[in-house]
Order: sequence, then structure tokens, then C-alpha cells
Amino acid sequence: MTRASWGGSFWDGYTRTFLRGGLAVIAASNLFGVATDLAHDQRGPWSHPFAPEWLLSLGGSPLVGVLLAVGLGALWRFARQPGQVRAGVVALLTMALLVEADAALNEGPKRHFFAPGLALLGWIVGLAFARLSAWRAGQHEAVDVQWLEAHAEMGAVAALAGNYVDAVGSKLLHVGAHWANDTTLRSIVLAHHTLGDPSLAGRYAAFVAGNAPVAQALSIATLLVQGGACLMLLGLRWRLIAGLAIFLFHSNVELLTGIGYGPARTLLLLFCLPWPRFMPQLVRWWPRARTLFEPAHPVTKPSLSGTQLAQVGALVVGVVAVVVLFAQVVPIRAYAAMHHSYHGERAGPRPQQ
Amino acid sequence: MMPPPDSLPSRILLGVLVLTGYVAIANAVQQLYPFSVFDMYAHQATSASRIGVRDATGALSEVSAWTAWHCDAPIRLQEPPTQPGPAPYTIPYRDREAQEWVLAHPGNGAQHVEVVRHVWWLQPLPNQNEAEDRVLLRCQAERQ
Repeated sequence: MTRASWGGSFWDGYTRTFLRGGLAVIAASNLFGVATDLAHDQRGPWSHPFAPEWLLSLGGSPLVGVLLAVGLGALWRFARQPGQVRAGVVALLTMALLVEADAALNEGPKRHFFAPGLALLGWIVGLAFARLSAWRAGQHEAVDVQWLEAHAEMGAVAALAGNYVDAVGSKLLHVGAHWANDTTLRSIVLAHHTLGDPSLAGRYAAFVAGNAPVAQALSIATLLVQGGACLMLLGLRWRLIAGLAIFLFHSNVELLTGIGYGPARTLLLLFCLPWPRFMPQLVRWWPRARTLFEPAHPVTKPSLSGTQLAQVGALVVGVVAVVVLFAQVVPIRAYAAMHHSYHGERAGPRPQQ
Repeated sequence: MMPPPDSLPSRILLGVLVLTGYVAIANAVQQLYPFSVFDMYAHQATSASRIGVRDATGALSEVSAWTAWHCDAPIRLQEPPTQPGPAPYTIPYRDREAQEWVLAHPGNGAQHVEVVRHVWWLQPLPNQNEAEDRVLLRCQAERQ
């Protein structure tokens, strides 16, 4: 790896229209999914006992359709124009509102909705960081959109990596390295996989559940792959290797438990594969698509000193610190702890979706 | 294509800040979209269990493989412990899916079946079987 490739991207030298559009499409698909769930949701003894009335009232409400339209409109604008912070924020807030309403009505958040939201958040933070850097350098009026989106891409990749670092951190904090023993993964597989599944996946799940050394090896691999997500920040090859490793991890989990995490896997492919290197050949018969992968004009960068960069970084650290402190003051952890707690036996069936 | 070298330090700094910032905020709030600690499987378990159907032939299958349910009572998810020792590991939403399936698919099935909690003990105690069935309910149903 050359020195210049540290922190670099396959998209350097290309416009990131495909990347931005792909993120918007995945987020839109998720937004539609959660809105569909929410349109059928009803409150009951399974709903969060301390959720605010206005949040619970979204279940089955026509307002869900309005929010869906607002979110999709914002994502359309986000996809069409580079450097769109405001449209990204509107889309993210809409997704957050719908996902939190669905979580309040249904005993807890559905984690497969999270990856597009956190990637979008990372993209927005990257844009804001680059704009702030350009402003600090006194060149905010002529800032290059490619330079902005190079940072947006890094922000999205870093947020995706944070997702997996959190997952491995939770395991190590709660259980320690002993999580990778010879029973935990087997119990997860047995508790999830379809009973009496005669398929190849069923036989594979039974093999892992019945084979302690194999299960332990897969558990160790889980910790390494999730922790290795940090490597995605380092550059082209590391991003490809770590991203594909996590994709394979998700695929294996789906075979073993049926838990797919499709949006996360799609985002990994979107951000980690070297699309500009092979897509121009694949779409050479489609001129409009080919324009997505044509080299961009040379980037003009703000001349930012190390001190100015450190000041922008310190501001970001300060914002994170304020949010962390604020979370200690408001009872948000207590609210989150009440998710996934069952609040009484059901009196009847929930509507089938 | 070579990356624009001047932007790399700022991108690496941004990447580190976003990653650590996400982890810090997620741990502060635990769950608030899009922040999460993703602790769904951050536990240790030496057992597993599933609610299933034991039919007259002794085969174990999913509750959702059956329909036309006729039971005298709903499935109780919090069954009383049948023996001393730790409770088996359960996935609450899978249990509730089974419970809801039975409630949502009533009928006049003719086959006598047992709804059981099948438990696997991965580190069985002395005199404990590696697997056991705890009968939750006796019903009549039909295979789909």
C-alpha cells in the first residue's frame, strides 16, 4: 500500500454520485419498510410503558404517510445534489421518528433499521466537518464538492465501523473474551434456527450447534471480524478486506439463525467494493450509467494548517462530549432499558402483517 | 487514480472522530436511533430453548407449521419452573411469535399435539438430560 492510499478511497478522482444515490436508495427502502410496519402497529400491553403519547399515536396514523413522503422527498433531494446537509438531516430525523415510534409500539427497536441511519448520519457529519474545515481555512465560498464528499464517504464508513465496534464492545464489556466459549454461539443458533429444518442451511446449523470446537472458532472469528471493522478507516485494501469479512460474517449468521441484516450488508458492498474499477466495463452499453463512473475534474482543496484541523477536531470532540453529558442528565438510558421488556400476556392476536 | 493527498489527514481524523464519537454516544444513550450498543447477543448462555410442536409421531416442528388450532387456553410464556437450577435461555420475540401464531390461526384441527418448550442443556448437570420437553399446552391442530 502506498503512503497516499492511507485513508483514501476507491472513489478518489471520481464523482460520488453512485455512492450518494446508493445510500439514499437503501435509506429510502428502510424508510418505506418502517413506515409499512408502523402503519399496522397498534398499542397494547406490549408497548413501551413510558413512551410519550404523541409517539404512540403514530401507530396506524395517516401521519405516517405524510412523514414517509417528507422523508422520501428529502432523500430524493439528497441523492440528486451533492453536499446536501439539510436534506440529509430531514431524512434522518424522519427515519428516527418512525423507527422510535415503531420501537415504542413494539417492545423495542428493530436493529436492522439502524445501519442506513447511522451511515446517513456519518455522511452528514463528514459534510459538516469538511464545510467547517473550509470555513476555518477561510475558503468556504469556493469549497470543492468532491472534497466535501470525500469526507462524507469517510464519515459514513466510520459510522458503519462504529456499529461493529459497539457490537464487539458490548460482548467484551458484558461477558469478556469468554463470550467466545463453546456454548454461547450454539445456544444462539439453537434458539433461533427453524426446528426440523431439512435444508442445507438447517444441516449446517445443526452441525455448528452440535460441534463445540467449530462453534468456538466461529465465536472467536466473530470478535475478530467485528473488532476489525476499525481497519475500514485505513484505506482501500483494508476497507475491502474488512468490509467483505463483515459481509461474510452476516451471511454466516443468516445461515445459522435466519437473521439477515440486509441493509447493513448492502451498505458494506456499496462502501467497500471498488465500484469505479469494474463498473465502467459492466455498464459500457449504458451511457447514462457510465457517467456515474467517469473521472471527475481535479479536486481543489482548502489549504488547511495542522492547527486549524486540530481546532475543528476539538470542536467535534466538544459536541460529542456535550451529547454524552446531556444523556446522563435526561432519563434516556432508563427509557432505553424498558425496551424489550414484556408488559403482560396478550389478550388476543396482534394483526398479522 | 491517486487520492488527493492533502485531504487524507483530515479524512483520517474525521474517521477516528466519527467512530469514537458514535461509540461514545451509543454507550451514553444505549438505544436512540441511529445510536445503539448492539448488545442483543452480549450474554453468555449454556442452554437454549424454543417453543415447538411435538406431534403424535414424536417429531418436533415449528408452531407455524400448524394451523386450525384448538386449545383450551393461550400459551403461557412464563411457565412455572419444573426443576431447580437456572432457567433456560429463551428468545422472547420468538416465543411471542409462536404464541401469536396460535392465537391468529384458530380452527378445528383434528390432530392431537403438544405445544412444548424444547430445552437444550449444553452443559448438563449430573443426572440432567441434554434435552427435554416442557409441555406448555395440549391442543388439536392441522399441519399446513
